[in-house]
Amino acid sequence: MPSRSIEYDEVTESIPFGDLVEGGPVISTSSGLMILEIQGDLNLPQRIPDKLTETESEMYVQDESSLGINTADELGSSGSHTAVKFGKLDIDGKRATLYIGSSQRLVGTIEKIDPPLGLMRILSESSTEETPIQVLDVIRQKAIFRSRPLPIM
Amino acid sequence: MDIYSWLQRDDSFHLIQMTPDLVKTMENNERLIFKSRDRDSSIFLCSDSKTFHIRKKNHSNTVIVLKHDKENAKAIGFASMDSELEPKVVSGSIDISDVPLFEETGEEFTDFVKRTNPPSFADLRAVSTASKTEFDVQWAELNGCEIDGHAVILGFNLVVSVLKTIITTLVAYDMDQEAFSATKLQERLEDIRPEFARTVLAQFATKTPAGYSLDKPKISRWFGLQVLRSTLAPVKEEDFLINWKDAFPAFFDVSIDIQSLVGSFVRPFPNMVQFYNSAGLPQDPVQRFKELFKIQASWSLEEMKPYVEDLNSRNLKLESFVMKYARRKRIGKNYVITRR
Repeated sequence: MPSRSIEYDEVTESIPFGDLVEGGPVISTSSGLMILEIQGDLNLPQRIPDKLTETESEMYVQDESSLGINTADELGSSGSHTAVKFGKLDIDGKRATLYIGSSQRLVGTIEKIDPPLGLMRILSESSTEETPIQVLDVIRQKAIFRSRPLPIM
Repeated sequence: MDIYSWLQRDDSFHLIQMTPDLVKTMENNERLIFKSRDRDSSIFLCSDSKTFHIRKKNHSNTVIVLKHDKENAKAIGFASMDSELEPKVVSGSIDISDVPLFEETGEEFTDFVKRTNPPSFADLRAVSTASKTEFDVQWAELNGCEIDGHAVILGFNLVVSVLKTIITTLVAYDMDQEAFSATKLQERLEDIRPEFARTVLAQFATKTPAGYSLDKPKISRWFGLQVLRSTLAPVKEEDFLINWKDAFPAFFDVSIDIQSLVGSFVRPFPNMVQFYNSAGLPQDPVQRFKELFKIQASWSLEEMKPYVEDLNSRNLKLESFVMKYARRKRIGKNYVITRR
């Protein structure tokens, strides 16, 4: 029978979950994690397309930073990741604006997540059943975009 | 801040709802283990005190988890989620399908193990989708016993025999039935294996700072049920009470009350009682009441309650619920429930 234990030492400091600072401009956790939620699909490339212009190429960067959470070493060992820049996020109090590309913007809000969400990492393929599952962080706010995209003018 | 996303996002990350019950277990620093009967079955999360069923809630929104690089004013998405895990508190359970029943037949235990191949107790605990506390309570109720590391369930006759021997020993040695030492008791239980005594005490005694205390109401009810079950035909209530009293070991002072057996018997004729197993009753309320009135023409509300309360899903006052399917009739000073 499959069974895996859970380690949650990293998040016990944030328990019990106190009230959020209303209107705080920072939505990331102390370890720097945040959630963006967009109603519907956001199609992002899964590889670098061929024949890019110089401006388009600049949107692709190598991300070699660690997550800054306690799996940093594990993630670091998996090498760097190619990342694509897909937008710009502005937060003004509880209002959030996500600019996508140069023509669209999404208007959303910063909301409390109730109940808060724990981020777990479950390593399956190369690990044995003895590897514990880790609860790495607890995220209590997110930027959510429910409305249709608006043009940038 | 600029927002990036990894082209190949990491799918080893999952979000779990930190419900108040789950947070409570973490506050208490309880051990948490994900369990599943097999790879295709439901997933459970077991703590020391609670069992959670884990439901995968899919959604169609784009949910990206990002790391915020404050220094460079950017955030990089490394995981995208199409679901979150919802833990819901449920009752834990022990799967005893592989656990053999052990009766004392003169067979050596080593031969019994060879013949039945019982699971190890440690394995049974590890695979059971139940919290530690729930496992201990249910294992005791099942008469579960750990012998030489193996998990077995003690047979009914063996439990009766050990319980009677324990009571007789306590009476014979004038030991305090509300505060006795298990070690001193065991010294006097010459022919009883300590594992058997532990199993029976786990079910019929409670542990107090002063020692073990016999759970007399439970022992009384248990003997009453065995006497009820032993007679299939209706029996005069008076005779049943005499048989019940006779079932206890000699000089064991315990009271009996037929109300403690409500839910296990019916009264098919005036002043007669008969064992009744409610497991086969229909789930439809109309059919359920019809069946109950077929067995017994009139009921007291108290005696009807255990047979119908599971149907009262809207949590109405019991009498109001019953009146939807039955009527109240006055007999002398009392009211009884009869068919409409």
